[in-house]
Amino acid sequence: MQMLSNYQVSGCNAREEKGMDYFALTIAGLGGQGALVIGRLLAEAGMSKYNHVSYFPNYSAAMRGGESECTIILSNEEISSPAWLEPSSLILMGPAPLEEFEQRAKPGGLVMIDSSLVTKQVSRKDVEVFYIPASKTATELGDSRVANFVFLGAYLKATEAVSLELIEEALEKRLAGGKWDALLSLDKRALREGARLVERRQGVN
Amino acid sequence: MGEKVLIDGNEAIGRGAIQAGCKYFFGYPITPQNEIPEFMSRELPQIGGVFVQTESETASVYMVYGGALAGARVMTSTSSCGFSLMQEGISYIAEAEMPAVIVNVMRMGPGIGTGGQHGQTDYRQVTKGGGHGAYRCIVLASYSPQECFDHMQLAFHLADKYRILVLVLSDFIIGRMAEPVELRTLSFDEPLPQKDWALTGKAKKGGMRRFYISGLIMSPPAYHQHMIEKYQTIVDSEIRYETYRDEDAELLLVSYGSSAKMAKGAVDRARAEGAKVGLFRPITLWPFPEEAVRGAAYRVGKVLVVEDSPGELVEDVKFAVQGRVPVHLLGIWGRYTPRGLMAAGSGIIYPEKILQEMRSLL
Amino acid sequence: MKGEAAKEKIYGTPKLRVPIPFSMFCPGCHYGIIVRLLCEVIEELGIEGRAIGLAGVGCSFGPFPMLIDVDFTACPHGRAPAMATAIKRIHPEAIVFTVQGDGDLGAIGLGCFMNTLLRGEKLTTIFLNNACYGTTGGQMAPTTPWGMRTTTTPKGRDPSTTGFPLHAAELTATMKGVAYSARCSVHTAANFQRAKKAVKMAFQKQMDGIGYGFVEFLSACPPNWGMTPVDCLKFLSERMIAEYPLGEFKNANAIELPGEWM
Ligand SMILES: Cc1ncc(C[n+]2csc(CCOP(=O)(O)OP(=O)(O)O)c2C)c(N)n1
Ligand code: SF4
Repeated sequence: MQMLSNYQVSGCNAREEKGMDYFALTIAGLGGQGALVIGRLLAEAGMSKYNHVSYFPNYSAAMRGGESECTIILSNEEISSPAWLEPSSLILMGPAPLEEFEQRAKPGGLVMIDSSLVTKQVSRKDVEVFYIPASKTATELGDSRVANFVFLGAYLKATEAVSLELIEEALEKRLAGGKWDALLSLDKRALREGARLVERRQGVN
Repeated sequence: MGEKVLIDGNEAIGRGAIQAGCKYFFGYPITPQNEIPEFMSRELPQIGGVFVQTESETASVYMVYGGALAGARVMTSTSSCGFSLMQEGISYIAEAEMPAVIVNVMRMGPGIGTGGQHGQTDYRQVTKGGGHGAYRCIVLASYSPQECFDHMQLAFHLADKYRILVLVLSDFIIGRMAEPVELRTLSFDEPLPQKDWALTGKAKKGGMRRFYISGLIMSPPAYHQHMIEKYQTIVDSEIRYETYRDEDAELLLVSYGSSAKMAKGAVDRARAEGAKVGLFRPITLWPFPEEAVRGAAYRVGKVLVVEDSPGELVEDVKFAVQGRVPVHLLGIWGRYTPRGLMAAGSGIIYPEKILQEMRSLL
Repeated sequence: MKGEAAKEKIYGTPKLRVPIPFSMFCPGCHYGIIVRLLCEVIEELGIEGRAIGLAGVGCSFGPFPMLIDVDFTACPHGRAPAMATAIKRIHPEAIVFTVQGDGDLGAIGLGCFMNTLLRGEKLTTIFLNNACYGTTGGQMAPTTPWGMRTTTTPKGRDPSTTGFPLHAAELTATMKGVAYSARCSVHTAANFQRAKKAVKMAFQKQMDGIGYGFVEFLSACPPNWGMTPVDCLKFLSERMIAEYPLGEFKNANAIELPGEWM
């Protein structure tokens, strides 16, 4: 699959959140893909920019495997509900049924899917879609497991919810102590690469 | 202002308990509350406390009973199945009027659960008592990590104030969701009674001994009369609830715990659309804010109860309004379950669903 | 003078025995003797100020807390070891002991008891084996010997349908965290003295922080055995002791901990 050919925009350009102070993002994936890891990190980083944040991981009964998702809300107003059926942004990391997930996108919202896993196109015309070859990019960077950071970088570039630097700070706090240096630098590279993918598309736009 | 940390409801329970001076925890693993015993096993030994992993919830509840008898602030936490197993012990603790705290992070029942971990199906059991003997426990229904943290302090305070078992009710969603929690110390401006009744060995009580052989010694009417009076005092002074944007409302949502979170979201969105709706959230499920619900319902004229259950809270609401106001229910059928409970994002009554229900009633 | 003192010791009332002017047990029951024995031991060890007792459900439930003048509580059926665990963990300097019947410890509370041993708690247990459920009217207990008639084994306990008697003292001795385990009786004066030594030892193991101390008592239950108190003594010394030999099954001065465990 050609990387660039995937960067098509469907429907309106709906970056309504840009520059605003309310973000609701749901990240769905399979257990082990790290959806919850980046979700929590985003919430942690968001604490230094927003008055209120919430992070809600929702997963099935099994300890590992199975589908999981999390919702992160960043806001300057008090947060009423920690989860919405239709969040303003939706990242689909895994190969779950696209038809079902795109139903949950809010009109004018943002949808990101892994174009190296899901070959289908989003049929909704009222959302902004980003086809991010996250798994492929991660593999090229040396570890397929950092696809989650590719997504996070892409999301942050697209919405500017928080800066990449804030995420890196939160990450450094988490992986402090030298033991994790290799992982830390890989995560950071994945983050930057994800942002670059969106940047390039914005250039094309 | 205390320090703010991003923690989930389960960790907030553990931290709140330690903040309240609880140093003894006895518990048995069960999802979705495992983070509480795990937290306690890390933290308590560092502050000279004790964590015991028990062999069953039966053992947990009796260690809580023993620990309360020893005069310490003690607790356990569990989820629905384990809470059922504790009912016998709860009845005994109630009989002996021992101050202690039990946390129930609910999951779906009956039995092992119907596949998911969400759910609010223990309402009747926690409010009406699953054990024998017409006893009461104070029930605090937390709806956020901050409230979990605060409620643990309140729970220990009320337990000691009234010599009563306090249940803190949480659920999967509250236990899992994280928000910045202010680690504040609540002060309750009232003195607590001395625990001169505790079993510590006679030497520590100036040679005075204490012994307990249950209410068998007191004649049954006298014992129950004493309990009736004590429960009435609690009803008179400890009812807690929150009302939200209900001043000019034409529809009143009544909801507790995680459902109240979702309901609040729905109220905000409905208000943004111009719909006049408000929320009534009971915080003490026992004592139930019966009069307050009645007052609000009569004023508003129409009620929608939201709970992730076949319908339990709705019974208390209906009882309170005495048939004079229509009471509707959005229950477990309001959940989003696209491909059953194993699908991501499923098992929740989302605000959008509540909004839809409200529109149909306005 | 010496004779007087000895007389005093044998017939007098121990200081810790609360003077209640009526018997709380049936005629010929051995529980009353065991109450006296416990009072003497606690007194002689000088631990009355820090002793905390817990009685199980059964004929020990009310009487033991009432009759022994130390901090005491009665407990729900089978749960004394769990409650004792918490009390001991909260007050490590206290000497905490449970008194439990054979239905209480051996049936409904066996899991609770075994898990308390598994955790290696430093407690003491007095186990009352009267071969039946006394309080509820003489039904079969886990300790009922083969062939013995009870109200739920009207033709005598049949191992093919009701299994085999529980040997609690032997079982307890197999557990690593146990420092002392013995079986005694009080049906003769000599046995009383031996039992006293055993109970002292079981407390001493806790006082020294070594491990669990356990003493099983064979005890007569005339109304439920359907015998006169005197016939009970005969049954006890012949049938009961044949099934449940008296003696020490474990007496450890230290419980070895694995050195490297991480
Ligand atoms: C949960 C529960 N089940 C049953 C009972 C009824 N009960 C009271 S005493 C007793 C038997 C006790 O027998 P044992 O432990 O042998 O003591 P003993 O009466 O012989 O001293 C039973 C079953 C109870 N109190 N609680
Ligand atoms: S029933 Fe048996 S054990 Fe109970 S008091 Fe009477 S003789 Fe003793």
